[in-house]
Amino acid sequence: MANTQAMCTSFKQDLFNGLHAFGASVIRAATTKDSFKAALFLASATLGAATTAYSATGEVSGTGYTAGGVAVTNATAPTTSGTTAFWTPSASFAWTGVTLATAFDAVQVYNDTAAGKNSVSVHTFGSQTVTAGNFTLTMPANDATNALLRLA
Amino acid sequence: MHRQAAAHYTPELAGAAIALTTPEAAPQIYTARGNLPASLLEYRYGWLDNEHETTFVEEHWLGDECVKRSVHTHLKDSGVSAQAEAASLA
Repeated sequence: MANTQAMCTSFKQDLFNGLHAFGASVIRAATTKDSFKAALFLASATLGAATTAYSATGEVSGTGYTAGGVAVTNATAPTTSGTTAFWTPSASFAWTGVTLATAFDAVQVYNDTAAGKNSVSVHTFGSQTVTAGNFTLTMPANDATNALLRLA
Repeated sequence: MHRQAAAHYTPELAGAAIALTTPEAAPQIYTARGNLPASLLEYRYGWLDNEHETTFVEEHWLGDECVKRSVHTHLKDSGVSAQAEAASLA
């Protein structure tokens, strides 16, 4: 046997679950999972890796759309496969009966429980508009290769 | 064995339970201009498929105006992953 240098896979999963705090953290009121939301952003916005929190700046607006976006369905806990930890929402993001006349091409996932509405991720897709219709974002397969969030 | 008796059908009963329509009534589609008869609208659809997404777009046109447009996007690969590394002390 020999030792192997590695970041432990369980640690990656623990990060998803908020188990470790190397820096100043927050007092959690319970062990329940947080609530997350998904909000749509205009193609002219500038969200990316530097985005730290949800802000309405650059968010789409229009008939039937509520600022802040929709609740993320989170029925499947983060898990691991091989050395990758991953998580994917368990339902599509859906906006029904909306008119979004200005082109949008991104969705931001953020923590709606956190007071600071801390950002989780930004996902882009082909630029779209919607007229008196529906916009549905279905999730990728929840596996180590395709999951919405992956720590490899 | 308990058996439930079949309800006696009468036109009056059916009329009370189900909103009946005539064959002449055209189906309506909700659009940016309110409900419009489907027969007035031109239906168009298209696909986009690449390594990141599959997107289906469907539109209803009233003349030269798109009055309804829906988009369904399937994210194949989120494009969001982080590579975790443990530094060597050697």
